[in-house]
Amino acid sequence: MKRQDLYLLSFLVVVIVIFLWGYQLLNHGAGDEVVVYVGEEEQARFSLEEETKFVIEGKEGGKNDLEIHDGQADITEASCPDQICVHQKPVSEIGETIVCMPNQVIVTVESASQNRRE
Amino acid sequence: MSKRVAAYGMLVALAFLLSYVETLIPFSFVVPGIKLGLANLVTVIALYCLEEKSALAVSMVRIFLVGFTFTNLSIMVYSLAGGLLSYICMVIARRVSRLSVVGVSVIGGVTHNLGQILLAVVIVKNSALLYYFPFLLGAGTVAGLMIGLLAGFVTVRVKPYLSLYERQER
Ligand SMILES: [Zn+2]
Repeated sequence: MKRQDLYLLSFLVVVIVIFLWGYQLLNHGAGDEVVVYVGEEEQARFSLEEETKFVIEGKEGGKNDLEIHDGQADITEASCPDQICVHQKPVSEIGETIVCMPNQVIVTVESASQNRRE
Repeated sequence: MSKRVAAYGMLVALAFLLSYVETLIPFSFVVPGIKLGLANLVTVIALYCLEEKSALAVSMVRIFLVGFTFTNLSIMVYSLAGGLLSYICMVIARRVSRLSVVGVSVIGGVTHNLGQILLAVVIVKNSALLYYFPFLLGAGTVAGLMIGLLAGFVTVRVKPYLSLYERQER
């Protein structure tokens, strides 16, 4: 390892810390809305407070089961080959996102009250 | 010629093994669909022990072989995007910067993940995916660091043999 390597590493660490810090500043607190996108199109929007079950129709016939319970949104079952979306943690904080790449499904948490203020 | 083929074969086999090991690591629990890129180790070794062309060849063969064995075309394009971008950035970094193999490998790790997330944003057309950017940056840095340190050790020991093959060719 050379000195330049350490510069590079420090730079990357600083960038990462700034980003995470920015997330903390921007996304403080729990969100209250779950937005479902398929590709760029918004497909559905739910309140985090209501218990909901919903089948998301993704691209190419893919399906993802969305469940909202205890103020959290979770994908419990999916037709995709990798099942990565199913393994992701439930989301509840603003900006937190679950992605299913094969079905091009994005589930993200927003704040309805914040949107109204803007 | 046959010795050279053997060297390539060995590297591709190692890359194949690493890619398989990677499928066993539940890393994607943290970041969806993005691989650590352990097989980049082989690209880095090839870059430092062989020629730039050879590194590209080894990494492309690896991506297609692994892609068709463990995944499918729609997932393979991500490996391809990550692999190509990281290869290009590592070649440039090695030529123009004063980074050691460790720094070059970190560049490779970071751009490998960057290439994948950028392609994902283009394909899905949704910038919400950029939420993962800092996590990918972190993962790429750690993976690149580990790979770079390992490649440093390996290169010192392997280079005399591999570069011997290259020289016999000419
Ligand atoms: Zn999925």
